[in-house]
Amino acid sequence: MIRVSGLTKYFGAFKALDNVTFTVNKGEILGFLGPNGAGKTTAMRLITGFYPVTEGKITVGDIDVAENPLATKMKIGYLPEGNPLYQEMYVKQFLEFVANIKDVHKKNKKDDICRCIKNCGLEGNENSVIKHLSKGFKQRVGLAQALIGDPEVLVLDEPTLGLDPAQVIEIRNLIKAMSGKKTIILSTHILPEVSLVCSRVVVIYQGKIVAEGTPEDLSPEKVDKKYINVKVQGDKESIVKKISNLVGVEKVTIESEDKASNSLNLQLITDKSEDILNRVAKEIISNGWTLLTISPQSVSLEDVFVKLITTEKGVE
Amino acid sequence: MRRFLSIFKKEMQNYFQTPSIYVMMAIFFVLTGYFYFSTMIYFSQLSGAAYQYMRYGQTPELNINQMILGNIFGNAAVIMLFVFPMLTMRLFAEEKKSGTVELLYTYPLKDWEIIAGKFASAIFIVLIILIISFFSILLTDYLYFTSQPEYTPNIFAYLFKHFPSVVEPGVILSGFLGLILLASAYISIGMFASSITENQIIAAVLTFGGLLLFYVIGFLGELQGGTLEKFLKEVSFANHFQDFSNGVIDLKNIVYFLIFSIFFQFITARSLESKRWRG
Repeated sequence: MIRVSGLTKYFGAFKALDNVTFTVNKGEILGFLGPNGAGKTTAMRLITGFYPVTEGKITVGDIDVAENPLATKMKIGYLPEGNPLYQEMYVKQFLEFVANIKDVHKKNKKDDICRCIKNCGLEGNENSVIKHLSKGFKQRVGLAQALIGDPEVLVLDEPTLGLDPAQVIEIRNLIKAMSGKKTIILSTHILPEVSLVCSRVVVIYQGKIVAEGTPEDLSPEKVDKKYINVKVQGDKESIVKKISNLVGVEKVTIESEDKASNSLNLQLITDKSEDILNRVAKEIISNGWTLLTISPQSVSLEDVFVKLITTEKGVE
Repeated sequence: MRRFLSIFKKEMQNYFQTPSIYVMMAIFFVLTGYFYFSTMIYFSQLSGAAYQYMRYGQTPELNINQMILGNIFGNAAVIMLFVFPMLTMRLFAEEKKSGTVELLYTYPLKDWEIIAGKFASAIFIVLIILIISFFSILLTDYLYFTSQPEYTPNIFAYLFKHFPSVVEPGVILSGFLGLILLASAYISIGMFASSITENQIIAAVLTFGGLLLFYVIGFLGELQGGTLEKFLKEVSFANHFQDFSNGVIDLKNIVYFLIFSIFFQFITARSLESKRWRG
């Protein structure tokens, strides 16, 4: 549905995006992941035709954005960063304005607006002035605005930013409910969101794609390091020394230390060898220390993310 | 066309949902009203003096169309210069500040639809102002009529039978045409100023400065003489508008205002586009 190839964007001498290539298939929810300033918003603005492309090509449903921007803009519903809205307008008035611009046929206009109001949970707020709405409701208006005209593609820039947890869940459910029917690109720097909502993830860092795949691809099993948390009683220095020397253990860090009970909380970074838990436990017991807990730590997407961008930093 | 109309409609709604347009209109009407009043007093004194002259066989020339109507149009032109920055300052600056310009440029809209829609909304406000201003012309005519022998106290009889009794429709037409053309030049400059900044105050000050400069630039020519005088007079608003308020519709003046407006709308489009290239 959306094909982006060799996309490069300069702002003056600053390279905001560097040779970015990816595709989004029909019905897929693609998550754009990256820290602030990574180039997520720029990429979205290029796809929606707000910024002109420096180099590369973007097609939306086989139509080139540079060649026929009006046709691609018809296909895209866009929620820009920070959710800008005409604050003075009434909700319904604003949605009508959007419907007129998106060429929604007169006959369907009323139904279309009702559908968007209903889908976004705005019933009862149609006649409120937008600036008087709470942030969560404004976000819904932003989403409703993107849904007007039933576009095939949705581009949502940080749709859950600044909402309270309950609202975040609602908005996520709204987006999830549309999966399969619409092609969605969603940007976020909140990692759990990606694994909850998206079917595929593109990680952007400093204008480049550093990883791409399903959330499972980026899950702990696929990462070549393992984390183990150990709580142990005994002499601090010898414990750290002995465990560090074990085969497969790469790094030992002391998380916390309880002097009264003489116990330590350690985090081990190890390779992925299967009996590593076994070896660590045996080492502790054979040295006569008391093993209080030992548990493999499940690595969250967050860790993967941090790891991806930190290794990328190391390269430079 | 439908998109142009929806932009137009949105801008109109915005104008009437925010207080600035009311403030602007109020200031405009208070000032034009004051100048109209002072012109009337001046004219009545002159006509009193003229009556004295006539007793000694002289016939002084007193022309209501030139002295009062001409003055109404001339004053409106100058007062518009002061209040129009308020009308145009928000057109793009507000959208840029609040980020809605991103919505506007990612909706399936052509640049000209956005600019023409906003321009048309401002021109529509001008039309409203002119229609209300028509009242002062009507009043002038009515006051003249009441001094005539065929005077009837019935206001409807006056409106439908005797209007216009002294004012000439041609002068009204040319004056209003001139004001609309002048206003479109004002609005185009204001729109350009609004497109280069996201600060409405800066947009207003730039507009006011630009308008004043184009209004008075011809005055410098009079001191200089020669080619420079000709050139500056051709560039200035004041000279081109003068003919309209005197009841002369000259194609040259119409073309001047149209080219002026189109030029500034064109560079508005370019300035908005370049902003998107630069990010």
